[in-house]
Amino acid sequence: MAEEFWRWSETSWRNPDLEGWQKGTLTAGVDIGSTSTQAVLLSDKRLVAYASIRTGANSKDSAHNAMRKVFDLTGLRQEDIAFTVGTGYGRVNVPFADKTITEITCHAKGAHYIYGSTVRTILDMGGQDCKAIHCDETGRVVSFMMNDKCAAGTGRGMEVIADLLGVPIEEIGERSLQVEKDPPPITSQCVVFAKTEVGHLMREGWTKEQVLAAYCEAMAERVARLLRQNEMVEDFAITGGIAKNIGVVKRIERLMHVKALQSDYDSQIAGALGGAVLGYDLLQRRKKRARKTE
Amino acid sequence: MITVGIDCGTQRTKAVLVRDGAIQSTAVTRTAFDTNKAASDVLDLLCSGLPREAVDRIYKTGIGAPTISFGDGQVNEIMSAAAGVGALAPSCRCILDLGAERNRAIRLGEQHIVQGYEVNDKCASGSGTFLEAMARVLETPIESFGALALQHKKDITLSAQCVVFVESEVISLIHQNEQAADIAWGVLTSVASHISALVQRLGKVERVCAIGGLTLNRGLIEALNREMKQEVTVVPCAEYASAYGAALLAAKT
Repeated sequence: MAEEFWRWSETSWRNPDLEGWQKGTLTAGVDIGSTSTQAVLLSDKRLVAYASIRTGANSKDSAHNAMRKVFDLTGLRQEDIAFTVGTGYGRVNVPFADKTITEITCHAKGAHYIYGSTVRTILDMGGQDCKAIHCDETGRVVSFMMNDKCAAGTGRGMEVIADLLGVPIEEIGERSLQVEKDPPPITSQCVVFAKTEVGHLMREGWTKEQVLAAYCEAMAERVARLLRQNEMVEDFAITGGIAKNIGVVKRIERLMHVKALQSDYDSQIAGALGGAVLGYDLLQRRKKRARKTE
Repeated sequence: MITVGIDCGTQRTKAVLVRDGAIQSTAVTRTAFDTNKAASDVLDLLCSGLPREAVDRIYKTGIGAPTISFGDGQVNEIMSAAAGVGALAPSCRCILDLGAERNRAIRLGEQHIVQGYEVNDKCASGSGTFLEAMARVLETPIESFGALALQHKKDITLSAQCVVFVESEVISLIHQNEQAADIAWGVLTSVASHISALVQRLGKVERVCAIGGLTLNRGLIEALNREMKQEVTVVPCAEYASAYGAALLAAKT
């Protein structure tokens, strides 16, 4: 079978500080994206565990698989979860969700949780879309801009280039920085036309590193245009799969004259995490209301 | 007078030998990596038996024309298409040039004067490359894609526009057990709607003729008729129309 350079690694994590922990109110968020699915588990809003996997042909199975990974890590069961929020493009396909919330709302809330209350602009670079979200100090969405028409500037576009050049997708960022001087960006916007253009450049003697630099630069310029359509307010954070591509991140930072906030968590969990946080807040409000009526 | 027109496209290089305004022979080869090689190969095929000196003039056109090192002149794709269609279908007032990567809509006036044109060069949706990608996913040879689509039993509307996203959409349709013919027809309808949108940018058009490699796909022409709500006529020698136009322009100078 042909090698698959586009394949990115699935991740999972369990909070090491939680040995012998006291279970609080458990809430979960499941984000079914076009390309990846994440499940995040919180206990009284404290991060317990998460898993990020590739979305399969069946999104219901993907939701179950991501959740099962989290249960395997924690020894918990579905019955232990007080509230589950489904989000992402496949959110209606989370069979065990108590509520669905759009991914824009969840992403802002998740980024607010990860990066703190100073974050105002979130760039979510997903598998099939790219969103610039502007939020307030509570993580509530103020406005957003989105490209979901075209693969240029998305993870899928990057996967196509990885396969074309035979460079593992996780090495693209690093290698795109291994050029003495940044070449001019790829001129084709369309990924399909970019493939033809890359063919010409390789025949002209460009190295793979130069081509990757030109492609990352083109992607960064495209994303910068999206960011400029909305007011760019710091602090700035990037979420989604492309946030792991240092070649794109560095170039966006240079074009926008900003620094992106860093985090040790997987940049792909923001949506699911936001879902779990919103689930917890919702439960608290319900409890308060119940107490009032008593 | 004997002239040759070479139309070097992204996928195929076409050549036409013209004697006193009439097509004598045609030849085609894959463009592949080396446009120079493709052009000289196609010329050899075209002129077999005829000494090269017998050819008075060679004109080039198409996206690869500037990179071909020989030839006596070069004309742009719009002019060559207009000249070729002017001779092949004199009543035509709007040309659809449907190629591998580019679609062009050209409005013609009296004497086939170009009055305006629109090109799709930003996005591959609606191009031949798009169809090839979908034929691959449906495991159907591109040559029989149109015939397959014409066997459709129902309409499927694709929601995505981008080639890359439609590919995933087609895969999920296959998983949902939709029939290949219905999916293929959905793909052609989507392509036709993109071409139709391109033509609409020219305003109201009439007597529409199609040229280019995609015209070999009869399913697409059927879908175009429906999307544009008017009949699209495929001109004779449709794939060679631009090469023919270049040869005719070579004879004029």
